[in-house]
Amino acid sequence: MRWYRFSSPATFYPLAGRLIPLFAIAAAVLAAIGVYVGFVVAPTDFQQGEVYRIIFIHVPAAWMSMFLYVVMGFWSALALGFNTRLSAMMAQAIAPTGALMTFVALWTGALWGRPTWGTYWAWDARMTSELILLFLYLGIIALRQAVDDPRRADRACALLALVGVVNVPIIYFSVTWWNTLHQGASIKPTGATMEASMLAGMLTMTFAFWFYAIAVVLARVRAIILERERGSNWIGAQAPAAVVR
Amino acid sequence: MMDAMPFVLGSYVVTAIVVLVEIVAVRARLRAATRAVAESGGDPLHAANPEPHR
Repeated sequence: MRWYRFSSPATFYPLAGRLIPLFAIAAAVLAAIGVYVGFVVAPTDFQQGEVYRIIFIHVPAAWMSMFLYVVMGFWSALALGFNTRLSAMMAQAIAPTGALMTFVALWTGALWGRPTWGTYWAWDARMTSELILLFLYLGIIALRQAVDDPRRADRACALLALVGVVNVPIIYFSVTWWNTLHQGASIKPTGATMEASMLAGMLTMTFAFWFYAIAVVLARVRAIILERERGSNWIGAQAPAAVVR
Repeated sequence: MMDAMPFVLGSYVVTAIVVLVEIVAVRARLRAATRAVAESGGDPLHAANPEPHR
């Protein structure tokens, strides 16, 4: 299969339209299962009590916030290196969802911290680097709004995104490199230090967040394609039939 | 230990609101872009702010 065929907005647009319902339904089903496992199947934590159930959204959101940034960096590198339109559009579409995931991770972390540590916020390395990630996402979104020419905005945002990638390993390894209030990783290559049903709930919610992110990014990239390509011949030839597929 | 319920609910409810807001915003943006293309009749000359095709 010639995958590069879908690097064109004209061929990717209908493909995205077909994929969105699949990922959206999968995300909804997995989220329902994850919430059920998280609240009904998983036992109460012997140390933290019921408040630990926040991890079923906090951890997936935090993972997604970092993962989406790396994916945005990947598309930005492609956009800079090969000057491909769809790569820049993908990077543009990922930024708002990445910002929301980062906000959810910070918000749920604060609500977990208050009953557990006695404070909503501490300037420790994990929390501060995650906050910087939110500022990077917001900075990229704002930079795009500030530049009128979309192609110049693509290049400027791609550069900022690539520079910001350095923050992702800092977030991930912050609990190892520094003494932090935030706890260390519970899931390592050597195994997980948590009960099986807790792990199952968390991984299920992680896939739910992942599939949700894919669905919403694909929907946003379709809107971006229409906004930026509506002067092009392929939309001109098919509109409005092309846009309803 | 503090009562955990307000914190747990606060996490899940705010996350649900954030997700719903994003879904509504993306659907509205897609509808607006679709309408703009349909109203231009697919004619590039009538597009409000066409980007040159590359």
